[in-house]
Amino acid sequence: MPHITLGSLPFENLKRKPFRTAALVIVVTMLTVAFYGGALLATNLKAGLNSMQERMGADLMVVPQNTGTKAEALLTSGSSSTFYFTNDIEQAVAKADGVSQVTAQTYISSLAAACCDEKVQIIGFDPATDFVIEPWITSQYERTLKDGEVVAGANINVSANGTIKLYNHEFPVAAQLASTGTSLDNSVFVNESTIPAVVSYSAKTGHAAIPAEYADKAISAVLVKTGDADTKTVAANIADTVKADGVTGLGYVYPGGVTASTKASLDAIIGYAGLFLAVFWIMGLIVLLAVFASSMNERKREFAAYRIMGATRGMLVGVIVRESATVGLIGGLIGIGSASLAILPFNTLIGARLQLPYLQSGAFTVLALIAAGLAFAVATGLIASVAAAVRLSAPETYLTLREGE
Amino acid sequence: MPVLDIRSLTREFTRRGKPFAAVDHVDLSIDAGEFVAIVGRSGNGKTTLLNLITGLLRPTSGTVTVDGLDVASLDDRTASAMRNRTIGFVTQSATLLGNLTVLDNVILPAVMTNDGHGTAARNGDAATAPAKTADPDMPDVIAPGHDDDGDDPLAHRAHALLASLQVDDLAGCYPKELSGGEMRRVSIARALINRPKLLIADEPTGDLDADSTAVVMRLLRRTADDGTAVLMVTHDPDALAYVDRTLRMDRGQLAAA
Repeated sequence: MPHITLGSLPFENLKRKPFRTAALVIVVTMLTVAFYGGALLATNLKAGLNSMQERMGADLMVVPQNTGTKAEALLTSGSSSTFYFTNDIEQAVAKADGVSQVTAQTYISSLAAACCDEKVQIIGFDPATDFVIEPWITSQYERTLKDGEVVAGANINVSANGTIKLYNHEFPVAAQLASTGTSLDNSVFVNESTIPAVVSYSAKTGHAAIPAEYADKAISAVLVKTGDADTKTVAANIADTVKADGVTGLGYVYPGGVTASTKASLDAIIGYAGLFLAVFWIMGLIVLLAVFASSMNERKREFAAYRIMGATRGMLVGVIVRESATVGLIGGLIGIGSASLAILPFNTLIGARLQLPYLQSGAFTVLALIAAGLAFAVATGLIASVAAAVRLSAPETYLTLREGE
Repeated sequence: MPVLDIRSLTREFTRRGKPFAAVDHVDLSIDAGEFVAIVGRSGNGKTTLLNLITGLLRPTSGTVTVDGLDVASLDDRTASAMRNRTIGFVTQSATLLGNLTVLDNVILPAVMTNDGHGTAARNGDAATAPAKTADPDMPDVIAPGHDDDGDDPLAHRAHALLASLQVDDLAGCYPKELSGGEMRRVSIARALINRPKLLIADEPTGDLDADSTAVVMRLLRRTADDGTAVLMVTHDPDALAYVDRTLRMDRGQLAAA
């Protein structure tokens, strides 16, 4: 059996005090879960926000009155919905001052019923004029989307035969897009010509998404690029223009504002989480400091023995530091493992529950966070032992250690 | 050259704002192979004197020279190395490490040396000498074979020392499983592991019965006979029969008994 060495001494000390060691490890584990888990969630939320910003090519969305909230939900991470104009409004909007480019989209929600594989957002777009979705689809699907075909978002469950059933019709899936962390992941995309067919299929199920008379011309939103013009001014111009055609009561959504408000919400959440984490960390550190200080008192005799046997003050500090670093490392590994198991496999669920853009960061970012989490855990352990180490490195350590004897 | 040479050694402490000398102008010289005992009432500075000799306390004035080294002038690293290699210290209170087995407690000072391999403990084989030269007065000083030691000379030497103190059967135990007397004997084995030139023992027979006292004192005597300078503080009159010289410490001052 191998005998004791100076290097193995801290591990023997930890092994022979299982309760104290376990208590310290649990504290570090909790701190690491909070730090690493919080950082991972925050990073994923920021990645989702960035992705959302990249996917928003329009400066202004013109939608039917009182559907602004539904439209905003489409941009962030809300549930799917159906809404539409009953007027042909695209051309009227295009005529307004300050409008440089327009495209129309149609939004239809499938049903959470036997007729559909799942409840998804069906987005009809015009490949000829679209400047929002088409570039994103083109970046991943080079061919032209044919009538009757769909492109599926990242979270859509495509059947083994490459189709998705919507309103009792099997739509062939031409391609599936990469994850964006936004509601686009829960959407299927069809070209505008396919929309009447979708409406027809929905009518056959007894749940017509759009009345038949609007099936050929229904659009849900007109997406506008304003160039250098102020979007609020352009919105006012659009209101004036369509009013002349007898249309009133439009709704306006400003994607930039949605992004800004989402960012503000996100920043607030991250700010509060950071504050909570800081308080939690300080509390944990105080507990660790108290445990180390208390164990120093009960271990005075042990450290006096080391000095008698010829240990330098540096060796005593080394023993304490290696013990605390080991506690930090073990706690850090357990904390990172636990947080990873709780977060990484459940990205879709977390994104759905948060109702915010949520995109899993890449492997490199996760590895960097793991490294930072481990460094944080070990540093926490080391900081907690610093008071004990300072006392040990004082002159006449032996006198300090034998105080009260 | 004496192994230990103390000149006008004084250490003052402050109690309730007033200084007092726990050790007061002490002179002492001990040669290699000499066995010296210090007696005296508790609280008269004996333990403080031992701590000054080992460099664990700094003197207020005077000098302590151990094996030619002025202890007070040494930096922490050198003083620690001296404590590890030149001095063996058996303390008054139990200072065995509760997290280590008896065997590892004895071996630990040998692995604290700079080389990390316990060179001092390996050189020569003095500890096993008692096992080779049978002492009719000692019940069993032959180290039993330890097949699990393999080629580990440190473990061999530790077992031999423990056997010479009749506690080798406790090698795998933890200190909390030992009696006070057994702990004291293990402490002595630990103090001898690095073949010190100066062995300091603070009441080494304090917890022992008469038979165990005899075993310990014979070992200390033989250690002195093998060339180690031994300085012992004791309250045990039976222990004085084994020493070459007895001194008395009274109110910090040392004089012949």
